Amino acid sequence: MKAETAYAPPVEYAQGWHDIDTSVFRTRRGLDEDIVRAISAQKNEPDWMLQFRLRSLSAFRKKAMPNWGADLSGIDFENLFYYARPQDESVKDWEDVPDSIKRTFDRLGIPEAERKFLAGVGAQYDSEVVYHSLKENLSKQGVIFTDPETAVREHPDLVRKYFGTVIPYLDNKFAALNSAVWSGGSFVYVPKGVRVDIPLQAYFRINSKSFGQFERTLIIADEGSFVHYIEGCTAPVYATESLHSAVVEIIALAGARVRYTTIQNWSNDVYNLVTKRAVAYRDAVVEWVDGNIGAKRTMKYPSVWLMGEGAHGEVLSIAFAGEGQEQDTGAKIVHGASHTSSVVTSKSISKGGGIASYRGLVKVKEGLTDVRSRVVCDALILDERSTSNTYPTMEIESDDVTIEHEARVSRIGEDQLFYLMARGFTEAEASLTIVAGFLDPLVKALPMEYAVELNRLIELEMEGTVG
Amino acid sequence: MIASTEKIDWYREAKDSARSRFASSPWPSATDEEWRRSDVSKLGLDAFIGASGTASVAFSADLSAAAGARLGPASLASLPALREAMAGIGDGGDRFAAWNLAEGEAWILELPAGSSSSAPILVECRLSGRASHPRLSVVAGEGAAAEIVYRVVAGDDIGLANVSLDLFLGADSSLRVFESHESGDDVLWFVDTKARVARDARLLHLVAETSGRFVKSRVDCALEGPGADAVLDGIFHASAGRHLDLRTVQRHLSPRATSRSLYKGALDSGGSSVCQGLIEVAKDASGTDAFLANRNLLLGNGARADSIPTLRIGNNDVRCSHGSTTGRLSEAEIFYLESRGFDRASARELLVLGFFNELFDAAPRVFSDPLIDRLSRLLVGSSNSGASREWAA
Repeated sequence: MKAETAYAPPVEYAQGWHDIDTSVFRTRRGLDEDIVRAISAQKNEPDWMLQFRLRSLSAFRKKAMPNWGADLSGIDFENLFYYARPQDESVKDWEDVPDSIKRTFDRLGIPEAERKFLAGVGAQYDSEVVYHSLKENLSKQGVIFTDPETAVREHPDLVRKYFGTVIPYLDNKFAALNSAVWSGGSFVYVPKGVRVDIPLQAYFRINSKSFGQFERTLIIADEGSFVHYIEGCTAPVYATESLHSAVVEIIALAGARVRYTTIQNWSNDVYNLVTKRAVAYRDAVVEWVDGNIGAKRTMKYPSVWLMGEGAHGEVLSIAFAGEGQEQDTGAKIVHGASHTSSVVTSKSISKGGGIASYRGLVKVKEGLTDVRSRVVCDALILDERSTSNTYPTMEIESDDVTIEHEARVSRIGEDQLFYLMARGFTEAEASLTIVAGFLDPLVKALPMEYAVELNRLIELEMEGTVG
Repeated sequence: MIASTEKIDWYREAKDSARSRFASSPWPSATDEEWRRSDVSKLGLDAFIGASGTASVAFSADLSAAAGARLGPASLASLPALREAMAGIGDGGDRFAAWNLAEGEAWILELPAGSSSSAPILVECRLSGRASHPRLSVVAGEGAAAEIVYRVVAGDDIGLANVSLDLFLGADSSLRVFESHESGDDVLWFVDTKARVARDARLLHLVAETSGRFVKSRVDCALEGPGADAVLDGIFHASAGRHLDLRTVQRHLSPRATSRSLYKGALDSGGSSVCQGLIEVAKDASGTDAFLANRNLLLGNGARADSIPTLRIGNNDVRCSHGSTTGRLSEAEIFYLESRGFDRASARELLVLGFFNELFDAAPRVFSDPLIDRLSRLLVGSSNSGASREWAA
């Protein structure tokens, strides 16, 4: 690829630019055993990881594409690059980060002060973590925050104990694909009783044409610990389809609490097919905060398996489906122990012919007592061309349960618009205000800088809605 | 009612086409989303192919009281509405629908335009033989109004009952239909109910599923005219070893139509149910108001209730919602009744019947009384049903 100048975005997409591709190593298009071996060799992996990748590859080939959910017919697995590596070494010092990458982050609007404030910026550029900083005090506490390649080298015991245990490579076709070609992501280990007070962040970007990004994140919160991990995604606009298929595994041991926040804003040509699952043991709490704004097709159902008594799972999800977009998102909660509870709150907005679907599962296994679950889905349809679907599933096999589900689909109320316009708002302002109010429960759950960013993104998406 | 040969040709053709469609199509498989939770592959259905069976239909004397209402076999009917509907049924639907049309005996209840009946019309369909495929088509003319109690009762020799009911509501008509399927514990029930509701017509359909080893019941209601209104209700109970799969579809094809579905079920240990509801709103069905609800009461551990209420909304000027709850009887309420002298079994029975009560309320006594009795027997066994007897008396 020889782009000489920065790419000029054809439409209003704010992050729609990309830099010259400076990757130093990249596999050819397509996927076969040689490519998997090449990826593994590039990373100097031990044999067990190579074998894991090869097993995963054969599972990927056997598994069928999902026959439900979003339309994935546009994916051409043979026409993708599965690995690219931008530079040789992961750097510790911001000064050593290449200028082009720094510019990337400037364009994404991460202010300098914020970078210093944030504990560690595991910034994913292409598929390798190129910048990593971890505040002194975190290291002293024994917190490990690194890329998974480093973890494989330096913490093989932890990795072998937990890697692929929450999401086995046989789980689904895309988890198998990720397991075969994974590259980059984050590895977090929080020792017993340690509270990480500031959110850990990784900022991901896709920067190569037709490039599939397969990051792999594994978070282990040991007993009684707390961590908030934030994943933010934004990608430049390209004409050909890209595939993003991440796997995120979270293990919350007894009494731990993990919150995982994502604001996904891939450009509108990306297929975002992600498997995210957490296991919560006794008295543990796992919260997924999941915002999906970009991407052409999203299929993502953050899951919590409540496997110990007293565990609690929570998913807060928003989806914004604009023109040409299909957001097939939701949540899965599996109650596998007594005295467990879960809450799922989903908000979706569709406009411009977009399709927003909630797809969820609440499962209560047999022989449990005192299980509570509540699922609420609200959908706004902003124009007559758009579609909203709700596909919740409840499988209940114990009797001492309280399971509630409700969903509502509507448009912005004429009376609400009228009221605001009577107070001097234009129709566009009034609509935006109502949408912002609709999303408020999610925005409140975000750290301030993300709340600001989300509001800005929604404002952008809402432009031109009222004609 | 007397049809010329030309008029019944279409019916024979529909049966022929259904027969070839039945022969060429497979049973629904677990990869089909609607059948995923109710595997028919182990039911030994092939053994019922070609099995003989009959259905005899009797109706109450009240039929004559409903001015001009007529009931007769479809093979003699010449109703254009029925022809239109049957033609559609011949093409669509699954293998069971084709089987019913190919093998079954169809009956038509015709309610002339403007007719109305003061008392419920009782239609009783008795099945005998190994497998039976009865079909009843109710055609309500413009402005007709009737209340129909439709009981399908399977005899002891029946192994499989494949039942179809068509409800065609002409403009501004009103039908209240109460349907129950009654049999011993070993019968396989396949139930297919289709309703088409025209402009300003009102439908109430209540189905009670308390019998059989395996029940797959489907109610598909199309709101085809502006202002149409449908209420789809269900009462179900699954005791140990029984599986019920209930599917409702509220198909909003026209503006300003309203619909509501409420399915309430009680499940014993070892019983299982699937409630799959769907509200589908077409692009131009603006002003739709639809609600879908499923309430499950788990009476013991190891009962399984799956609930899948789905919405597919293609218009933004709508109010659509659904709710699903699953829980068990409140210990506090049982305790309260015990403190008033009820034994525990009677207290539970009373509370379960209370749970269903809002649905009984809409039904005529001739339908609800036997149903309450049956539920009482199911809930506490024949040894103790005192509370309900008094309550129902």
